[in-house]
Formats: sequence, structure tokens, C-alpha cells
Amino acid sequence: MKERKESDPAAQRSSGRAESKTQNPKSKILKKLLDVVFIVVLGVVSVALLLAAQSYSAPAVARFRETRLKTNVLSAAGIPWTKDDFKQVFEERVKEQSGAGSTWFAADSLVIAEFKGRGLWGMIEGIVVLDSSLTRIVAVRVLAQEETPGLGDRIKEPSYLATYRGKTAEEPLELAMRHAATEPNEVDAITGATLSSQALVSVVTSSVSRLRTAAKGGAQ
Amino acid sequence: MLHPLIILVAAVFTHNIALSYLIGMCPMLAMSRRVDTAAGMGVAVTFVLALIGPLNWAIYRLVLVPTHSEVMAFLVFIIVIASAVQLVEMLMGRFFPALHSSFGVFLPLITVNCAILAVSLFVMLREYNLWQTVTFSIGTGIGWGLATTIIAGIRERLQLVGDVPADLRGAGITMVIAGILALAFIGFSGMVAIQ
Amino acid sequence: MNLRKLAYTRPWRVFIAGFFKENAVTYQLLGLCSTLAVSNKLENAIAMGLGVVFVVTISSALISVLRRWIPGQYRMITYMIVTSTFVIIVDQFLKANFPLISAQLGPYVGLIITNCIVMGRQEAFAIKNGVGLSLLDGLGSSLSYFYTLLILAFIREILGFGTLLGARVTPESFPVWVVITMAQGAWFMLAIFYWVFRRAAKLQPAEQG
Repeated sequence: MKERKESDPAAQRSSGRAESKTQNPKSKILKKLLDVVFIVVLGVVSVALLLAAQSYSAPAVARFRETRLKTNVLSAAGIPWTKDDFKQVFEERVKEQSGAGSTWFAADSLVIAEFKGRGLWGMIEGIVVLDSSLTRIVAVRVLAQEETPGLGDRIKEPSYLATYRGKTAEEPLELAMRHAATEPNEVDAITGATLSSQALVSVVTSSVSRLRTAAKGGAQ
Repeated sequence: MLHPLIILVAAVFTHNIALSYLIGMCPMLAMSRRVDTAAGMGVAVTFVLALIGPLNWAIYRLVLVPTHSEVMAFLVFIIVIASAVQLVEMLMGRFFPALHSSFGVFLPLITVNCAILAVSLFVMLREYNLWQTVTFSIGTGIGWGLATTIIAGIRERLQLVGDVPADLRGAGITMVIAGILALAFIGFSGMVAIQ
Repeated sequence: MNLRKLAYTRPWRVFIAGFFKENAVTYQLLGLCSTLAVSNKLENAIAMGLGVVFVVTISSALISVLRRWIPGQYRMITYMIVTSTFVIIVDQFLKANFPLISAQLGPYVGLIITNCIVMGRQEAFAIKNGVGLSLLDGLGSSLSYFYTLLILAFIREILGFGTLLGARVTPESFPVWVVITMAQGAWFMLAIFYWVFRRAAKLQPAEQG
């Protein structure tokens, strides 16, 4: 049995608006104008809704980012915290410093900086921790990224990031190609995610060199 | 700073948007039945990209960034793309009717080619300047068109041989072809960095 | 209610068409980019699948509500504006209230907006049908995308990572097929699924080549 044609009788074949067979030039122009008006109104309403949505979410987003940064800095520095007291603990144990045009944190003997750089699909944000002598990387944490799910996004996994521990902060880091990373300036890549791994290495390298320059200048 | 010409060559070969990034797949499968169809679509896509890439760059840099409204980038890019394609279609119909009729149904289909939006987003992410944007846009168009045309050529040959299993015909065997080509293009990765 | 009779009603037919025979990925050939990229692990497939079901269903309904005012010339622009505004608003809402989920879904948002299934159903159905039917149509097609993703992810995760939802299921000595975790290798998996599906759905083979 042939199926009834899939269309609502009130709507026309390819347009939502009914079109009369005879149209004089005036009504044609009017219709075109109304069409444009519809789009403009739709555009304006959408833009307004988006701006409203953004301002609605802005305070919560800022709060979340602050929480994420502070709790990760504390964890990376090995300082215990709880959901209720992390802000206080951060105040007490972590000192924000600035120098040479960038800001960084000092916690116990460790030196910590945020980084934000370009990944394959979006920005990679995180923190890098150096030891007091500014020669070794103690930890790297990825706080936000938009890489390929299942492949590139493994750069956020602690088991992968652990391979950065102990690497040198004095030379630029490189991705170990075709062999396991042995040198202190080499990092293994994630199989199937070379570009994302390389992006992280580049971002961490530039962050580390910026941090060393700033921290060498001395605390403020 | 990456030289614009390096970006152009990279966008066509080593960072081919269809075979390395796997973007714009739906139209690639649909338009790759015959070489002339594929090449025609490739030319149309390149033309539209050459216009829209720099246009979206300008809007982003000169309007969105100064007014801190980056959240609207997606929406704005999409509106610009759809409007630009509409405009190009109208202008082409008025001034180059022969060209317009040869493009035929391709032009409206370009709007839904994700490669167009992807170019605008990549340009934004990689912070290209205007020249880099121009060559990246053109290169991406050529790259996408090249990939589709290669697949079309292979499909045409297969039609002559006539050995494809019945249920795999059409889109199925195209997927296998695309897979083989995409794997081949992995060999290019790491050659040069354009991001 | 007689369940047999249900099978002959319009709503059911609309739903089942998109859900089975007119599978979004293997019949309509929509949503391919994201299928290749995201079906490498079961958890990614679930996240993306749910997102797409939500967006397609509601976006179709939205377009259906507006259908009498949408100018014929500007259909595409309208679909895109409505869909992207809706998705971005939902994304902002998630960012504010469920930041962890939002962080997980971050990369998917772009993939969902540009997913051809959304616009495909809006253009093929929602623009000329009522809200209820458009909802069912969107639901059917997006669910077909969802189960396609799940089936592909199930196989790809086991073969490519040796895990299922993160838990190890193959012995350590199993050599994982890295190629299949990448979008490039996914093409072959998809081709096999296409083959099997067309057989199972008894669809007419396409023409040669």
C-alpha cells in the first residue's frame, strides 16, 4: 500500500509560507521584505538569548574556574584540602607572585604556573609545577582540553601526565618519535594522538621557560 | 611565523581537511560518484571558502573580539556562511548564468559542508593573520576537492570493473576507499606543523 | 489498546522509519564525521549519542513550531540559527550548573551543532509536519544514530583498546588494533556495519560503484 505523502496540508512543498499563484510585483517585494525581516528578527532574538545565557552563566563559570585552579594547585603541591576549606588553605599556603610580566604561585618550595595554549581542536589549559631549583618538572596537570575523545583527550589522564614528572625544565621538551622516551627532555607520545601530544609538549615547554624567567627574577 | 604558502600546501596535502581531519564527510560521500561532479563541487567549495574564510576572520577580529562577544562566534559564522552562499548564488545567477547553471544544485549544498565552518573555527583557534587565512581557506577548499575527486576517480574505475558485492555498493565501498586513502594520508602527518 | 493496531498508526510509522530502515548513518548518510570520530569508545558514544538525541528531537520540534513563518528562501539559515542558539544555550546552562559534565561534553558541542542529522531531519520532515510527529521523527532518526554509535563503539573499544567502558576485557597479550581507534580506521568498521545493516534491513542495493 503506497504511503500517504509526508506533508501537512497546510504547509506548502518546500516553503512554510503559502504562496499565491498570482503575485503582482508589489506583493512580491513585500514578501521578500518580510522574509528578510523574519531573518533579522530571528537573528536579533538569538543574539539576545545568547548574550543573556552567557551573562547568566558567567558568575558560576568564574566560580568553577577558580575552584578548579585552586584545588588543582593544592593537590599538585601535595597540600591537603577539603571542599569546605580549600579557599582558606589556598590563602594560607600559596603565595601569588608576579614578575617579568607573568604571574605564578609559590607553595612550600614549589613553583607553579598556569598555562593555556593551542591544542588540535581547542585550547589546552593546565598547570605546571617546578621544583625549587627550577630545574625539574614536578607535575603537569591538564584542567581543560577539547581534543579528540578517546585519543587526544588522553593527555588529561594522570597516568600519561605522570610521564612528565622528573623531566628537565632547563631545555625545551621534545616528543620521542619511534623510540621510548629515555632522555630527560623527551616525552612519550600517545599512540594515535601524535598531534595532541605534540601540542601539549609545546604548551608546557613555553610555559616552563616563561615560569623560569619570571621566578628567577625573584619573588615580589 | 608560518609562511602563508606553506600553509597553502599543507592544507592541500599534509593537513587535508577531508582525509586527515575527516571533516566534510557527508558531502564527500554524496558528491564522489563521478569525477566531473566531484571536481565541480570542489571548485565551488574553494570559491566559497576563499570568500568566507577571510570574511569570518575580519568579523571575528574587528567585531567579536573587541566587543568580548566570542560566545557568538559559532552563530555568527553560521549566519555569514549561509547568507554568503545565498548571495553568491543570486549574484551568479544574475551575472554568470552559464556558470550558475553548471554549478546547479551544488551551491546550496555547500552551506552544509562542515569544512566551511571548520575553516572559520580553525582560523580563530590558530590565530592566523589575514594572509594565512586566505591561503588556508583556499588550500582547504582545494584539499577537500582533491580528496573527493580522487575518490570519484576510484569509484568510476570500480564501476568499470564491476565486482563490488551487492550490499556494499554505493556508500559502502566508498567508505572502504575513503578509509584506505585516509590511512595513506597518515603518512603525511608530522611533516610540517601549521598550528 | 490493541498493540498490533499501533503498528499501523502514523506516529509509529514515522518513528520506526527513522529508527530502522532509514537509519541516519547507513541509509541517510548523515552524521558521518562525528560517527567516525566518536565511536571509538563506549563512553564517548553514550555521551555523544545522548546529546544528539536531545538536540535533534527538540530542534525538530522547534522548527516544526516555527514552520509557518519560515521563508522558503531562508530555510537553511533558519535551521542553523535555531539549532546553534539552542545548543549554545544548553551548553551555557550546563557550564553554570553541571560544570563537570560540561567539561566532559566540551568537544562534543561543536560536533553536535554541525551534525547533519539535525538539519537533515528539519529539512526532510519538521518543516512540513506537526510538532508531535516531528518529535517522533527526530527521536527515531537520532536513536538510530545512537545505536549505530553504540554498536561501532562496542567493537572498536574492544579491538582498539582492549577495554569496555574503561574496564579491561582482553588479556594483556592481546595486540590492540590502534588503527581502529582512529577515525581513519573507523571507515572500515563503518563499511562493514553498512554492509550488514543493508542486508538485515533488506534494502535494495545501490547501483554499481
